[in-house]
Amino acid sequence: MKTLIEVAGLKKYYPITGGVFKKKIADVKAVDGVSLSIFKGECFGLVGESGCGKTTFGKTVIRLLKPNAGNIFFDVPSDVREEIKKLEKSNNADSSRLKNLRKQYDLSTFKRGKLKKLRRKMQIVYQDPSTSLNPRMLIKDLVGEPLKVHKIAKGRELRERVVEMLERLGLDENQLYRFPHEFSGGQRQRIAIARAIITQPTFMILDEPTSSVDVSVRAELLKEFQRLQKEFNLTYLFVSHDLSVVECISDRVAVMYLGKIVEVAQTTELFQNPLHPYTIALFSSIPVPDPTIRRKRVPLTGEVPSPVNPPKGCRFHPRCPMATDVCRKEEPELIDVGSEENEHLVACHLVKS
Amino acid sequence: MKENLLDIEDLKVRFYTYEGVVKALEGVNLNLRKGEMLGVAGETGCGKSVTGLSVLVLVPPPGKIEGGRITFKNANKTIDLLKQNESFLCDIRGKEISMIFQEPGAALNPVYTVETQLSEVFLHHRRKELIQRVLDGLEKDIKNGKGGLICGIEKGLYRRMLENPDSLYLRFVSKIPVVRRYRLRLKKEIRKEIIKVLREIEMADPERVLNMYPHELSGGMAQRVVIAMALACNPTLLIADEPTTSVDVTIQAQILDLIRRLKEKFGSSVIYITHDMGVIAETCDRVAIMYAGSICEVAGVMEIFKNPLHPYTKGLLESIPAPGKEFKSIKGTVPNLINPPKGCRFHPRCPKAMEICARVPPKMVEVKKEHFVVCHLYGGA
Repeated sequence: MKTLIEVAGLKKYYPITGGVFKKKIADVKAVDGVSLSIFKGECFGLVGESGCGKTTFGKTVIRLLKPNAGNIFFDVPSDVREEIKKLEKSNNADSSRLKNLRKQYDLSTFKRGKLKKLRRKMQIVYQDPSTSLNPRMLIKDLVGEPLKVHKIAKGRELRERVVEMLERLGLDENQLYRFPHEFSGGQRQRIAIARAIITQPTFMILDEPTSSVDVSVRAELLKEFQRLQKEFNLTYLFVSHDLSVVECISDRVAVMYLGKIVEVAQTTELFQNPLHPYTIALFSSIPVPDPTIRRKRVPLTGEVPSPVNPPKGCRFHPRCPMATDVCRKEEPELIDVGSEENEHLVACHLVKS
Repeated sequence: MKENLLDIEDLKVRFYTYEGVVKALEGVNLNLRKGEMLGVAGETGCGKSVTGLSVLVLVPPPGKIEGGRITFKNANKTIDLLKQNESFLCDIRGKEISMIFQEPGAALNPVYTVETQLSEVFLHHRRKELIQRVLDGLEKDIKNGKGGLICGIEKGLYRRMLENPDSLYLRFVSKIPVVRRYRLRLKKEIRKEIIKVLREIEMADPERVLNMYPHELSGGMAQRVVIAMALACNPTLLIADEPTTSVDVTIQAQILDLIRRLKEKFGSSVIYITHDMGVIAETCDRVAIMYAGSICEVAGVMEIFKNPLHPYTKGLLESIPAPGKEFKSIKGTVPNLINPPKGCRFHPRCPKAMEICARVPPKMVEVKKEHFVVCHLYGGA
């Protein structure tokens, strides 16, 4: 499978300022060294509790935020990627060739003009459509705006494209001259999707797109996402804390805890055979909609620690029921423990390959 | 069969808005047995929360309870909550019936500390008991020869407080600096009680939490404080209105465990309002499914999940995502309750709608023992 996005050592810190001169006193380590690759055409799920850095990660990947460190490679030809890797491994890491390549391909170094060109290819759908859509804009302007910004179409063609897109998402032409508040939650989310998809992106971030709608509408939206993925050949990064939804829609899932990835695997593999203690506890606390099943709960005491001062060693150790001395001192690395064709990455001292 | 603790009969609630009269509840019939956990499920805007608020007679304006009866059995007396005056209701709320609200951030007052907010409950419902305890303490101090004159004066003041709570004299004294320090004894007594309650709900480090303001608490902690407030007087009926929608799954699991355990311990009955069928399956004994202001099905948990009868219940259960299953949804949207559909309110979205459904609203029928359905398919004419 071809890699669409490769992220290496991504870090995003938010500074906390204080004092008279607003000096920086600390950092909120929202994303702290995340490496991932997302394949073309897959739906990659990212789960974790609130405040673990899921949304920040998503926004940094498409460069709505500037990362503090790390590289993002978006749709880089594989031979170029190989060369970069080779150069990184070789001793002269500062060679001009590497610098040039990075400048050309690494998203984290891009500046405005270059980014704008790429924005067409990467879009995002936010959590709550009632806040992500401008309440003063008509639907035709909302959906047509990306086309104008990227100078893809104008005038009559723009209108035609907007109507076509709306019809594809189950809305119709009569609704062009309406405002967002005239729609229901599900319809509003469809408008947000239309707005994202109209530039024909290859990569879409869905940031908890179903958390603000009801159960019956949620199923409808999920169906829509699957249909669109096939139709437009999209790659999704599905960020959510709703594990049952992620289980249904994703091909691979990553579990995030306090700015770090703790486990990555194929969806079925991960849900049937979770290895990291946090993943196990997280999955066991999903309520099952079947009264005959009484799942044994792995109790997770306490709450997520502050990302300003994350615990030393493994970040999960204060809440981990199986923590040992190593966990308190050393930070575990993400290692592959799965079979050859099925990757299963875990960051835990207790899991050995 | 256990006896009923609460009976809601033909409850009607309307909201008078500028756009028109919203018929939020239209003839809701529901009962709750002693020691039972009843789940109320449905989509947003179907009237779950309004039902909960009606039990406390707290429907906010422009809403009005227009008809029906809510009978509550309290200490062998049966009372109709809708016919009581406000002061009686104030004594019931928080003591016999209490509620956990949806958004803990909004349920707590941002300008008071946790201690001040929790002590309100005690001051209102257990004032006499606590003052008596203070008096006992004073008595002991005097016997041991501590304090002397000051203790004597304080004793007099507290006795007055016990006998005449609205005394003008006390109101005056409590404003004088230095002298008003007599109140600290009561405060200390309340503080002890609060810490006891916070320990019960497994709050970490309750002494520290007491002096915190709501914005300093995390979502899970704030929800615990709200639960503590609701459970402070061991109510016989607890209404939990989506207590876990704003917290994470791991915290949700903790809170569900907590509610279940406290229910066992105090023998309370719980009405659990939620839209998450998973939570219902894990915690409740019986379920009521609501749609557009009326009940469509009531049955035991096993029965609802194994053998749902109402088309809406079926649709709701089918729309729960599961791996390897195609996503299914209920067609259409929730109707506008200003002009609800005639007849059965679900008929425009119902896959099995018949001609009669558009004309006659169905009545509740008991299809099986303990399984009630409101649908024409099962002869509810």
